[in-house]
Amino acid sequence: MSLVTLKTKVEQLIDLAEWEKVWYEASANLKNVEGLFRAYKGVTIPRTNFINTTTINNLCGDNNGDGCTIEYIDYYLNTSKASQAGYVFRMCRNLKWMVGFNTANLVNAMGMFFSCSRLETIQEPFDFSKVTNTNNTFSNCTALKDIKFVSETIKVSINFSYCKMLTLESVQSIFDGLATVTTAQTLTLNANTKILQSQVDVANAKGWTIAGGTIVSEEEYYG
Amino acid sequence: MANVLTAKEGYVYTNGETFSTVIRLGINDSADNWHEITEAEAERLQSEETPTESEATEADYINALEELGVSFDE
Repeated sequence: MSLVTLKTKVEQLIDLAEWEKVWYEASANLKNVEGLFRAYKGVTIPRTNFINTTTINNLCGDNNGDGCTIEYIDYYLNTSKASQAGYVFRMCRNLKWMVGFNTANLVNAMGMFFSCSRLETIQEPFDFSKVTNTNNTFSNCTALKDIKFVSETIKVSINFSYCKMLTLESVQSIFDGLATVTTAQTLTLNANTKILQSQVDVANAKGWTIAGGTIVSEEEYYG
Repeated sequence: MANVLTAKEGYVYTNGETFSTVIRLGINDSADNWHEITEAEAERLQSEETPTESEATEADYINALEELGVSFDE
């Protein structure tokens, strides 16, 4: 039974307000929500309590991009126990902005926003301090402008080569997000992303190789 | 500068995971870890995407609602 069918059945039993309350209470029992909203056709996902959820792999993600149609998520997902978020929003092609979600215990960030080609803004910062897998996390996020990281929490190579629209604040937050590492790790930026030599120097000294980006003068950087 | 690698025309540098025409090496990295490949080869390698596929687990959320007394006719 798909979630769409499930929701239809519940709506037949109770009115919508009650459904949302029942859903929020029920969802607190969920540990694994893989594919929960994969076929969801609303503009935003129902308010869900992820308090005990340990896996949000493919929560809205779909291999074909014909599934979840959400355009925004206007509340912070309380996913503090989730260690797995692989392809959580894969090919959510209508997704434009979200508040964000708790990544304090996240280990697997593989493909989280893979092909979210309209995604512009993630409001709250990500804590990547436990993340070990960032393969394709931001692949094809060609519209991404606003993203923030908790300072010095990024510890493994991370790729923003598709993200050609990042604001200066976002780029700075990414650099600030780099932790000091003891093995070679690489921050990859879009070739046209403006960066400062000072940003590169600090990152290099922390053990980070910088791939891509274009070093410009401070005059050009700040306009 | 010794810690900056710039690929020649039509080529990119790769370490097997990352592809870029300009590499600014960190203190833990070395030019030996990077080699040049053609842009065409880089495109081919980057297009090989093998995302994982997972089956939805419906039992969890159906069970959760049933615990609240919601019943369904199958």
